[in-house]
Amino acid sequence: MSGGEHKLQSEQQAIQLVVNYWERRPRMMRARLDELLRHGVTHIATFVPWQAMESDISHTLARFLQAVADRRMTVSLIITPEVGVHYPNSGFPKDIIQRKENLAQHAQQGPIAINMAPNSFAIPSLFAPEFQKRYFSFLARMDSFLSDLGRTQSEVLRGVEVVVTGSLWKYYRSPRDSAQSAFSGNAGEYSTHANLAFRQRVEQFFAQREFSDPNPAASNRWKTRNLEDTNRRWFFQQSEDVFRNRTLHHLRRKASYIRLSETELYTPEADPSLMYSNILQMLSGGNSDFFSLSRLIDEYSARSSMASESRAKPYLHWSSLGGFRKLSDPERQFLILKSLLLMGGQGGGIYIDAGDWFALSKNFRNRTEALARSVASKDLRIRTRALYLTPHLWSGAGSGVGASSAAPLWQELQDKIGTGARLVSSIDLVLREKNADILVVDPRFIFTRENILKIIAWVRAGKTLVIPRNALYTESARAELESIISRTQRIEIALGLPYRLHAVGDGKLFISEYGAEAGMDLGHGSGESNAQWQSFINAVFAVANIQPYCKVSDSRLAVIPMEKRGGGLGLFLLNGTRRKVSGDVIFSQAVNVSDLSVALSSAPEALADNPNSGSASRFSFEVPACGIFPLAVDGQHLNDQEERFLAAELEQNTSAHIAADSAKSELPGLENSIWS
Amino acid sequence: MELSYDWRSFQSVFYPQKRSLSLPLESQKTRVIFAVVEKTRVIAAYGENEDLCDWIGTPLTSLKAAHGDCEVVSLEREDVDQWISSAVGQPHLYQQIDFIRKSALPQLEFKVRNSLRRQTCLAEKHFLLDSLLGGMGKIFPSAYGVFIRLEKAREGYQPTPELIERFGAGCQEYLEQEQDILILFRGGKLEAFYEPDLGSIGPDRCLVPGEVVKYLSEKHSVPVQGLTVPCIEWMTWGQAKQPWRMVAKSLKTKEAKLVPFRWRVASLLAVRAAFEV
Repeated sequence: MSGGEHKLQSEQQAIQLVVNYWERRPRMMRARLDELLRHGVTHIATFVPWQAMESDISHTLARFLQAVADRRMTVSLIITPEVGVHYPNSGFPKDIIQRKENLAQHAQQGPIAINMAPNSFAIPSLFAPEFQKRYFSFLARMDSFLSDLGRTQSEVLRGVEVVVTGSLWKYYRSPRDSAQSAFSGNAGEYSTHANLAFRQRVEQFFAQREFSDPNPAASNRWKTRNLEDTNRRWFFQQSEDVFRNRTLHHLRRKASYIRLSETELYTPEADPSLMYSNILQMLSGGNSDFFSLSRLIDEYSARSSMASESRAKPYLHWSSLGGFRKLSDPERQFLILKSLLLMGGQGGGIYIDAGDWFALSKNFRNRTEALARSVASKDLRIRTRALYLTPHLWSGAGSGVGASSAAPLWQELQDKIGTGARLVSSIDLVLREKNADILVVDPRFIFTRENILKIIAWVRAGKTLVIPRNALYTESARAELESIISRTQRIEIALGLPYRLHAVGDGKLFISEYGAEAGMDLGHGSGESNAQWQSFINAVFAVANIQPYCKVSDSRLAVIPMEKRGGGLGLFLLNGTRRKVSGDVIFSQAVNVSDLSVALSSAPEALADNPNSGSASRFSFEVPACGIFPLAVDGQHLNDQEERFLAAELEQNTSAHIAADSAKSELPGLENSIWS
Repeated sequence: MELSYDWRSFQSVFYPQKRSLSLPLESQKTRVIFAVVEKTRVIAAYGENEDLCDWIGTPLTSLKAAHGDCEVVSLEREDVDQWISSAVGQPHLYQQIDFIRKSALPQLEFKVRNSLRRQTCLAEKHFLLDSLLGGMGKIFPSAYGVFIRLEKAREGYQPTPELIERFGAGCQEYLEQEQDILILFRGGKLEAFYEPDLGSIGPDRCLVPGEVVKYLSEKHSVPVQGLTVPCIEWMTWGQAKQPWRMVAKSLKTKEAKLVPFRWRVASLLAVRAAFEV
């Protein structure tokens, strides 16, 4: 959280301290900023509540930004609507959320309440015309504010970054369905406004020529009741993407020079899956449900959303306005570390209130800051090894009501490689994930010809693709696929889950029977069917030639493997229980295990010469309650990672230079702007 | 900008954080498991320090059978949804929870085993808020404020081993902690709570509790009663079984002070302490 001056630092910050500008008067805020500066904090984040911005007659935000600039600090302005903000109704205008017709409805036709301080409220529908009109005028006001500030006091904006989040879409879930598994069931918004928008969009979407092939009446087969769930899924995903793009567009109208960052912000304390649990805990006055919070982090980190141009950085917000505050210190520390590893390892991080952060022990803060620096500088990162392409990121791909018939496949992927498996909802994001070797496509995904061409191009680069035989293909998509596979060699397997394996370029294509009907025939949950899914996934992994880094002997322990710059792994062994647990970590080949902090600060050659490190494939550990063990793992078979690090960096630098060069040629005067 | 509902300050004064890891299950005396059910199936379950995720979707009878040693209190999902929808109309979370508590009260009672007594498994409220929003509030004016100033422990103060054990890592923090909070009541309800901005009265007057109370009283046009107390003392009261006796004792020994000193308030506190069960 400390560093150089005059430099926007949020990119290097995996832990961002939240200091909300509206919580204190400007005079007290200045004193608070001085105090933070004394602690070495030079970058902070603040939420900009919609309602606070609309009623900011005393220019509190401008004065706050001035105070930040005076101290040569940098700040991330997080644009709401978001939940978990320490402002009445989380910053939503009261008149908007008081009108019943503006409220969102979950799939069971009930309102979605967020039970967090300072008050519990029902979230509005992002489809409601009144909401949209008012929200986009708030964004216009924000845009004008920033552009005016840039014109009159450009130095104030030098250290400002505007953060656009994924907003409310992920909270549109039924508390009943999500109580068992956070993302099971049909997510999405089912209010009258949403239904109207859905009907209109379905008509428009299927009026495209591709769906009218071979005759105009063919488009009707896409609009049947059987496909209602499927259509709703892509509709919600598209609406979310459109909303995000419109938000960006409104914020860039005048203040086009402002630095914008797109993130996916998760607030576990506000998650609908914990709604009933939170109420019960409030009534009983007991501790929070630590286990559910811990599981939620896993669920969030398994999802990767697409921003307008790239992957949205995942951030997790511990607001302490809900259950997080009711945990003991070791539990809070465990959750902070776990979320930092899982989100930071993917280029994001955590937001935490500055007061809560400094209430933690100094030792813990020092250790966590060191770890945050390692993940922010990408010395440690989580590699995505397998992807699951779903039409809607927040609807059930896991078990439960409304889950797709391929749910066991996603489950198997997760069981096999844990944090290396990722759910995505965009083909563009798949194409950007250079390190992933496997892609499994959900049977509810609609294949158009363009999708087929993109996905096959990805496979040709040596990847493995798994698609369902009875998926939703347009006629031209099916013809394109048939034409591609007709020219390939194939193997047909009829045992267990039947599939055909094709060689496409350097890659492999599995076409299997896991569409809706096949899934039902197999019967989820039974021992026999699980074995069939398992053996199918084993075959896919064998063909793709990837295997898990390691296994643990005790299911109470979990591991987060992260690739280490210079080769090897940073392996974090987690005990999320209230008792100490002993267990073994088992590797497929002999490796050396050492202290991660020493490994990160030493040169790789020094580690190789370390005579104390013994090579073995099984190591025993005793992990204390709510403990996390950081280990460095080195072995011959883990050394190809350095090449991937170099390739990833090269790609990142190349994209950045291309963008900068294009901008220079397109925008005369850019070099003399405040950002140069 | 001054937040009317400064939840962070409110929490840190009235509901301080637990610092140490909770006790293992076996060592807890009374275990209660709460469940939200729909047509006898468990929709959500909560038990302190217990992971009950695996019981979701199972029949309530199975949950009860597997936890024979605990009380299982169940609430109907429709009722819970109804309470939540109605509670949204209340201005802040404290009142919203209070509303749900009152609505759920009949269902949260259970019979104590081997006894005729019935027990309610509800969270205990803070003694001061409970009294001011309950019986004591009825004899106070319709609108008034309470200003609480938590101070550092006096120099040379040594916490007893009992206090160190009780507060753990938080003990040292409470010895050093200083905090102000103003709570405003109107019509028998908690209207606002926040750390007042005293910048406009100057740094010298700000240090004098009497001046602060006078300023706040004028600002809000309501009578304000001030209370200054060392933070460690305040936290001890919050956890005591007979807190009013401790309040009376602290006032007597001048550890805590009423600002301004009003005989009627002091007498009321003394009476409250004398009749405390």
